[in-house]
Amino acid sequence: MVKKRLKKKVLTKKKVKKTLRGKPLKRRTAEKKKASAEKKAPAKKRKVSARPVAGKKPQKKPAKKVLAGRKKKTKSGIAPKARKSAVKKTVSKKGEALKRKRKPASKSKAKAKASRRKRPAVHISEIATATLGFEEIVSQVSEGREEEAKLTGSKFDIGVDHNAHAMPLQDIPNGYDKNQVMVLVVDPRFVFTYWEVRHETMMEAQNRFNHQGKLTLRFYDVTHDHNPETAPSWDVEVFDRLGNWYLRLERPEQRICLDVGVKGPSGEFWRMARSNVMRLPPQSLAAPGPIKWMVVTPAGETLTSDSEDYTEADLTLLKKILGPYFFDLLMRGRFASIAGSSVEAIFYDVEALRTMPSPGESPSSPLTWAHR
Amino acid sequence: MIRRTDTRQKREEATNVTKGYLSFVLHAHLPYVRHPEHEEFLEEQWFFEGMTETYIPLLDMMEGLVRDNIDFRFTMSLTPPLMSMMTDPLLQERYLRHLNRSIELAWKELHRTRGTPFQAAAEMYNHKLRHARWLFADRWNRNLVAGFRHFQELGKLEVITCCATHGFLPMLRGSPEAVRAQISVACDSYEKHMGRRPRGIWLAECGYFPGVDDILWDNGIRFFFVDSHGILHAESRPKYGVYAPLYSPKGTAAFGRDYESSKQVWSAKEGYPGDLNYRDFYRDIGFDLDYEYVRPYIHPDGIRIMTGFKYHRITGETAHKEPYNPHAAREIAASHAGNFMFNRQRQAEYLFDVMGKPPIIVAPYDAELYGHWWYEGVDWLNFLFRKIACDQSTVKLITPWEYLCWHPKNQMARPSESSWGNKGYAEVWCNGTNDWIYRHLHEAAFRMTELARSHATPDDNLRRALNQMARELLLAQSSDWAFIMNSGTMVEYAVKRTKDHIWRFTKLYEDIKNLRLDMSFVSELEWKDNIFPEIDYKAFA
Repeated sequence: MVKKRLKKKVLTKKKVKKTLRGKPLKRRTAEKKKASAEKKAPAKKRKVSARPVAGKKPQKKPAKKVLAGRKKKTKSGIAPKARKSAVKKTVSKKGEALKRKRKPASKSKAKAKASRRKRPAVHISEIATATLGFEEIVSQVSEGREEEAKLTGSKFDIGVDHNAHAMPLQDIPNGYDKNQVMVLVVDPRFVFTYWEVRHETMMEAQNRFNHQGKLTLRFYDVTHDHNPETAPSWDVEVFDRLGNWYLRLERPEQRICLDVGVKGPSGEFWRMARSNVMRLPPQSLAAPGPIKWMVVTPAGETLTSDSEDYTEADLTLLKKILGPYFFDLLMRGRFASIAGSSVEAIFYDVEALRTMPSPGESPSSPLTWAHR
Repeated sequence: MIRRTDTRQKREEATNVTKGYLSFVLHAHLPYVRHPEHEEFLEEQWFFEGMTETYIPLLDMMEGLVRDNIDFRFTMSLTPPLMSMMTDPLLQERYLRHLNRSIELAWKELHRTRGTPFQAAAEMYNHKLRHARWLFADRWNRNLVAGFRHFQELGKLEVITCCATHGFLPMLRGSPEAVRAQISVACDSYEKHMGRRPRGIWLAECGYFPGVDDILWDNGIRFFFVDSHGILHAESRPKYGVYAPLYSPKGTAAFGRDYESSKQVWSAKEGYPGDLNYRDFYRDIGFDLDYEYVRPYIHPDGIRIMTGFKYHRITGETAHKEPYNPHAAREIAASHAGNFMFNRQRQAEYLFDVMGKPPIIVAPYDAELYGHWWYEGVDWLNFLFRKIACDQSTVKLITPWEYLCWHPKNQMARPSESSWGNKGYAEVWCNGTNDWIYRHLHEAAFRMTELARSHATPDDNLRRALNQMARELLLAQSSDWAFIMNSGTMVEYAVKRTKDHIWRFTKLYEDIKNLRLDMSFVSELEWKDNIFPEIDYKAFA
């Protein structure tokens, strides 16, 4: 009886351990779950025997500190650094209300993760025949960017997560007692803005509107009409006199600025500060226009030489240079999400598309690029 | 020199021997980490690892290439903080201490692994570390910047600068003066170390926004780099895509990153660095061996850290790792170099056919990827340069400056705002984990400009305080802190560094405003944050 109970205890312990360790378990498919469960125990043993101490008997339990160093490992063998969602915090340490509206960003990351779960490893041979959808490819590729960020971050990886205990944490001011608002570009569809309103100004405004006024951000679309007073605008009500906000916009290349102020009960707006003007970056190829040429000599003299019209032939040339696939991405305004990406699987997939033999194409157009 | 090469170049182009150019750009950067107030400081390890695994091997590689009369060219950005650390006597001394300690461990390891499958790797470490000490202490007299300058003067390497403290310009533009100072201070620092003004710049994180190009031109900088979409989304359509530079209206040339060559190297899983025979980055004896054995070589507080001794190869997605075989890995690196060259040849031929002129393929990478993350990366580069020089003539190595000398006529179009971070814009440096810093960075920049304009002729003490304020502000602006906060490792240090510099800056500002300057505090800061000794705060005016 005692033995039985002990056995049970051990089993439950193991179970707990498995669920704790095995976060990836949830991610795997049913078949893989089974396979990994079978492999789990020997894998643990092997881990110990792989230590570089020759001739030593493998210990049953590796020392805690040994494990501590490994926790960082993930399935792909890369520390989970850049994986942290970009938009986790909603309230800052200093009590500022950060009203985050950036759900789409985290969604896309989740999507990228989901696609990673589905396709653990893509072999080159598989890719030639694989028919991935557009969205899938983009999500795979943007995952490559994350990988790149991890590699870049590896130079800060010395095997520990936390340090700097020896350094004192200095206190910095929350705000600077001034009325101000600033807007900055995050990407072609997001801007970041932060503002501060002085306590005295806030009191003054409340007296003015008999405590009925509401703190408001008034955004102006100054793309065509550069004067905010007459430009189209919209309001966002906020609650803190010191805070920040992410705003999603529908149109890239928009010019935008904003006011922070108080809106009275009858709709009148009392401005406290105006921001700088920001122009969102473009998301795709510019409209056709003349191609200007310029000569800059090594000594630094510049000569504008000539210009030519942008013709269909130029567009065809660009298509040939990029390949039909990247060209398509560019025209759809999706190039930035994949530019410089690093998933070679996509490289091969795209190459297969790009080097499809077409009549009249250059003979050196390589079909054998992807050989390894 | 250029003229003679120019003629040869034109002849080669005329006979259609050269189908394209390959321009390698290695971006070497580490944040300024130097803590004289502590005997040992964990984050100084970043610098030590970079030195042993990347910077010294790169110099060694160049020396070998020159010795063997291999004609090679590449571009390297050495950021001002990195140059300052490389030339700092305290860090030089500490690095030598670190190196000596590693060599001591390497001898012990030689005995411990004798007769085991790990012996070959232990011998390699022992040899490499002792060679690194010779290169560092004797060959370059502890100053690696002199080494890079040497190869620049030989015409093999083009060293370019970077933003003064790697400030991410698109997020600093709330204060245009801060953006200008990041560039002008960097150029001055470069001149001090390299003996001439820089011709090119690597904008931190490739962070560009329209307008930066004008500031660059005003500082005498002739070329910079943007990510592919910076060129493709330019204000007018780029005729040759990313395979020819664009001139900004003033004349600064922007080179775009080639996304294909990037992919082959950058990808951790499918790219070269993910090959199963290469060394595994995470298995380190600092974590694997008995605590007492490694105790003298980890952090003095007893925290286990990486020691740089790694004996396993990647093996696969498994916890079980096979022993690392340096010779096999070298063979793989050579074959990967061949593959990379083969792909560039085909790419150049194809592009030459469609474009009717040789393309320039710009392949930029983080320098620390080579050697530090991808241990065999430097060997790969070495093989690649040798193969390109000896085995073919389709692709030619070139620096952007040489390209501009040979092809001074290019399309004029301002690139679009972009970065090489995840998703291509500023999200990595501006999200919920790190956006709180910008309020403080901008305010500090406004205050710096205010004081710089109102104090034209300060007395000696005030000038020292103002210069120190400029140093503190620049150090706070480093994009690394936001990057680390976003990445989730060592966050505490990044937060403390940012707050520390802002706090020091704010205290100095308030002291100056209230006419109660504490010179002992200024002296202490000058001792701790001694970057840019010749800085002039008027850069912010």
